[in-house]
Amino acid sequence: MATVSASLSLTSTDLTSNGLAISTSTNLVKAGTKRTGLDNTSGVGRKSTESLDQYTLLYADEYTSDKAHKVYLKNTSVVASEYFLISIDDEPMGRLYAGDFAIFPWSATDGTKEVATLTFTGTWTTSDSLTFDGVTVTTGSGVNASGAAMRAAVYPNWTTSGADADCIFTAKKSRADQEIDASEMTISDASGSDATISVATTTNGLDDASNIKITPSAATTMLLEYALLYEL
Amino acid sequence: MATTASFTLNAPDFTGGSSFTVSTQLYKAGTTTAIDQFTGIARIFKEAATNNISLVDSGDYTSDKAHKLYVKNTSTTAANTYILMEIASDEPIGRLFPGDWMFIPVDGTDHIKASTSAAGMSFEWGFFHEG
Repeated sequence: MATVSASLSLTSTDLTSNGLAISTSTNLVKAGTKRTGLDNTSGVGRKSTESLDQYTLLYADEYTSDKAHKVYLKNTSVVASEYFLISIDDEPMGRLYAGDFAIFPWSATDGTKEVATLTFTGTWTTSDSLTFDGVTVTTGSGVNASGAAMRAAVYPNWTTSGADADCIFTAKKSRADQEIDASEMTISDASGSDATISVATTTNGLDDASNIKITPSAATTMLLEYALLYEL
Repeated sequence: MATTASFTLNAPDFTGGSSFTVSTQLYKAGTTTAIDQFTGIARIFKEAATNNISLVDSGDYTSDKAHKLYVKNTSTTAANTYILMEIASDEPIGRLFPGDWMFIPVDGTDHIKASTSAAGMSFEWGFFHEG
């Protein structure tokens, strides 16, 4: 069983008249337990950037929500003016200036994954194809066989389910910017057989409520050190 | 004037999990001038589960600074009780279970609040800030 202890000290001889000396330590244990240590870790990693673009460091839907996960972040910069803005989803939490670190619990609250149903209609043959998410699928003879072929393919950003002429696409990540419709599906009707489709959104996607997003303050090389201690 | 924060993580059971320590001086945003204001360490006890206890009211502090917040759950209640830390309007940061603590930067744009999940819970907190 993993034992992970974390200690924090905050000291100052002159912030207050009588000095400041706060010291606290705890074993990092799983939610709702007293002695079962957190047993998963990302390890201590580093991420380098050279732009001002915000990026998602940790996706909440990759972890169980409402557990006792802990996040460690450190800005390794030595330039006093350089900072990383730490945001929970789209809410800015704080700026991590050069040398600063942060330790905090993380709820990893999930968002909602987009779900859409593709239905083959019209007449489909084995010489037709349909392209979606960068994947071109050779369809089958008839709508049900085409649905099966579409469900059997592997997509970068979607999983599939459904039956008969339907292929239900479920997003792999919870995102708000992933609306799909028929315009994102390219039909190659080589047989000229009047191959058609319909696409209906059944669930609108929403970003994870607590994705951890990082925005560097400088377009020069900035290096963030991070670690996640988590439970399943 | 200087305030030093140090963090040590010790995870001997993990591969490569030897103890590591990081330390930093708490400086004002973009400078090497020490933060010079502090709320002191407050201790809060709530007889009943209580929502939305305001710790940092964004209206009281300048935005886009290098404020720092320390919070520790000092409760001795059951292991499944917690203090939910949130930012802005109910955006969850995470749950502090008994004994857990956190130390975060706060830029002063949004409120930071705490909610206790059960009766008889307590926590302590302190805010290092630039006004």
